[in-house]
Amino acid sequence: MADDRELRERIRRGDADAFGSLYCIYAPRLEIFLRHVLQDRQAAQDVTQETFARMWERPNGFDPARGTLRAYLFGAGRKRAAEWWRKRGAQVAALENDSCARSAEAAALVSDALARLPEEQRSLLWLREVEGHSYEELATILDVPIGTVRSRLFTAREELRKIWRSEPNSKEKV
Amino acid sequence: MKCQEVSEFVSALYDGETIPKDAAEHIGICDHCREHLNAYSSMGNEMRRLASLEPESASKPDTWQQIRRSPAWWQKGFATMRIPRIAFASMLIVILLLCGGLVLVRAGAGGRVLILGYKPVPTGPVLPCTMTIVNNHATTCSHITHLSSGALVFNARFLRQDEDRTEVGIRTKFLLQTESVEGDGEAQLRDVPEQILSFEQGESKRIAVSGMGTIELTGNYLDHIPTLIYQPDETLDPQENEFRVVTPVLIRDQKVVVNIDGNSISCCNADATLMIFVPGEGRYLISGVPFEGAVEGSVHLGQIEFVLEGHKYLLLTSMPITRSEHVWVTHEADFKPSERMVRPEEARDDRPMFLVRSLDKLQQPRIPHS
Repeated sequence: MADDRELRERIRRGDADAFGSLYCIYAPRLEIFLRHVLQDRQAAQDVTQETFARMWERPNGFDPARGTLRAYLFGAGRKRAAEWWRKRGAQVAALENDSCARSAEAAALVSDALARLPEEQRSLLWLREVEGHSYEELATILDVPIGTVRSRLFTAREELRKIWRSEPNSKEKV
Repeated sequence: MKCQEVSEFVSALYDGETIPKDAAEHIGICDHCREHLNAYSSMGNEMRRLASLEPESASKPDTWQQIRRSPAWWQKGFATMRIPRIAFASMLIVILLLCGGLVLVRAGAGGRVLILGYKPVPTGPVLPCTMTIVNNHATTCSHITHLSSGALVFNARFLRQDEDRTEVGIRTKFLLQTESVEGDGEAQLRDVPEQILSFEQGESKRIAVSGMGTIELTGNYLDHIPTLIYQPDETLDPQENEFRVVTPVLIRDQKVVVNIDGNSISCCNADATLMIFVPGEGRYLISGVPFEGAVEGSVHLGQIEFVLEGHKYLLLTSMPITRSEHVWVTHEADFKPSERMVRPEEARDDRPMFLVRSLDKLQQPRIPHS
């Protein structure tokens, strides 16, 4: 696959094949990430489509000097997810209560524990553990210094560990 | 070392990051820290297992075709046109000229920056919209201007320069005071059709804005991007009681805390105060007047130095900040814009921001816009 700078140039010129390659590689991963951030499969699909639509319409939004294309896409997706949460603000409390109620009987412990984390911590852990983003990429996505990435990752892991440990069937032995 | 002192390094070590030697030595002999390391590893494995079990994504390779760029109104039917396209294009140009929608812009000799000024008619502030017309840097501008009757949302996009003529796309919208302003200018105008216009240097033209009236636009050229893009005629010297902050960089103990692009200026407020918000850090207030709990700092042109909470700070900006030689500073670590800022575009906890307002406003429970 072409490097990020070349890919952006091709997309700017309206090269559908280049954009198709980008979409095939990243859209499924972004959508799965957004499912965990948004806790809503349809919304995850919509936000994924919106993120790529924006990339297609405004490829200049990505600046290769500021980070990788992958980091840009996940950062853009996460910002749109945050907007989605803000618009759904009134419904958040109900959803959080529901996730607590479900946790006692949940089969997927880690999924349930993740769902009980704040959105930012959930995003950060997923991007690091599943997507394997580097600290530099996470700093770009979250728009924070690298030192802050390290401290936030630690805080998120500790929160997840405490929730996980409190689960009745947790595998953790700490 | 104690476990508490190295706890953050356990997480960093798990990520393969370099950690201090003494922290690594402690982790190597401490069962408690190693248990945490193992727990992080187990959690990571479980998350990756969870991801592998996820139902298939709906974002199939062929679905991206749905989001390809929609053709512009003038492109619809153009491809299947049955009369000569050149004839149709000529006809279209004549129609546009007759409607007064096409105005010619002549770029000044050597001018590479278009300053497109616009103002509500008959009276209103002139708002310069700055765009470069070479390479692809800063080719759009978006403003939301709060007027007495509502908010004017304006977006201009550089399209092309043909010899000495420049073409721009304009989108406008007026929101009544009763309507909420959510998102930035581009988000507000997403569904508004674009008017393609061009301007003759120095000539003023008017376009209608639904619900508001008319705005007047004027095109001019500069050979550089002005430092103050909203006030291109300004000089470096601050006015009396003026507080101006351009692209601030806040440094603590020789490490950059935040580096933000943009500018914010307050004129004629004796208590003008800079607020810098950094996610994870809270906010800093830097005021031209003393206030409760604040420490004194010194000003030298575009630099402010102060010592706060045992740390030495240096604020650097691109221009002289104030005529005053002293400022007063506080730090509130738990400040969240979402809990205090009234304007939705400012009430965001996830990105750094700064602005200059009166101290009185910044200390209110709900911080109003200017």
